[in-house]
Amino acid sequence: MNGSTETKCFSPSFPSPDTLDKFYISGRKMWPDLAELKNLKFDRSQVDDEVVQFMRSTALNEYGVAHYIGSYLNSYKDDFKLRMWSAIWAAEEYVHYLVLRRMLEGLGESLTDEDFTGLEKGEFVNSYADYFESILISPDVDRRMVQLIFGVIQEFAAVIAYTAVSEKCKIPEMGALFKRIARDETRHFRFNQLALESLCKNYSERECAMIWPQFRAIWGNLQMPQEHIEYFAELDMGTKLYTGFWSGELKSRMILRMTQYFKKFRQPVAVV
Amino acid sequence: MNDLVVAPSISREEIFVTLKLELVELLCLESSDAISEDTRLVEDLEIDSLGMVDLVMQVEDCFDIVLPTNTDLSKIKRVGDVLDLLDKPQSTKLSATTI
Repeated sequence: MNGSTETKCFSPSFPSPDTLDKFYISGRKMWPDLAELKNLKFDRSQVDDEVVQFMRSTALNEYGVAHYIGSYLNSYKDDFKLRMWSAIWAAEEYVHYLVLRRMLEGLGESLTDEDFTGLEKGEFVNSYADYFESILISPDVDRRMVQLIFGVIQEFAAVIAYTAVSEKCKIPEMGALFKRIARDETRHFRFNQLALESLCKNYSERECAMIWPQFRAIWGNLQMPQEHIEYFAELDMGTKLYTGFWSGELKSRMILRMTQYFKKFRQPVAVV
Repeated sequence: MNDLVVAPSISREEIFVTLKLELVELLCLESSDAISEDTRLVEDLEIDSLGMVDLVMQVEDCFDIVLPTNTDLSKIKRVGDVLDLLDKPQSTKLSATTI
């Protein structure tokens, strides 16, 4: 780690594309040909209405990636590899939308044109930008670091959400698909961690010391991206629906994993 | 880092005294006099989700432990529940980082 507190030249997150290659390949292996989505048919009477509502909301949320990627690219600016990751990530989230949409169709619960229009036309950029500015602990904090911290939290929340709904699901084939999406979100969670740690290697002690308070600032005012699209609120599909299935144990896991991970950055040397 | 929450040689009373000092520091209280095992974390100490993050961090640092990720924090409603957690080494071994 660089102990200097002076302003330094821009440092990329990763020195080589190897990490991106690895994550891209592992992502391809998760859904090699999407053959499992052909001719899906499920018994609607075996699926609770709230699970269907969760699926509709989450399918649209995953489809909303075109909104979200803008904020990522804005944060990553000149960091080419993180911008490339954003592209890979967005494509993988689109697969999740596709899986959920096919599952919904298998239940006879297709998304409507109105759903897509509502989401596509929903304002996101300005609302999210205001929120993002409000959570910064300092005007000179590295936006990449903030976005990655947010990414760690957001992706782990997705892991918990899909895990929770898989446990709630009475149809094993559906539960297995939810679990597979959860595994994919685990990869995303892990990538954000690795990128943050990689950034940290080039940070000064002062910059590293910003990670824990920045985590606390985000955690204390956590708003998932769907909070910033009106369409979700209109259909009562906000964060409350997203977290509604979480058991006490899963909520605890979220708190413990996040705390145990981020607190390590209070002692930067131990991290890198 | 211990794989047990607190060394067995430390009594519950000693853990309680230390825990109270940690709560005083964490919550900027004037003293620990009002803290008992029955004190409620949310209603009496106003520990919210951010406060829970700080509490976990403080407890883990202070006692040099890592709480297992399968710990159900929602069942920890009173100070006495935190003590129970710290006073039961057999239930608090480090767990694998399972999702």
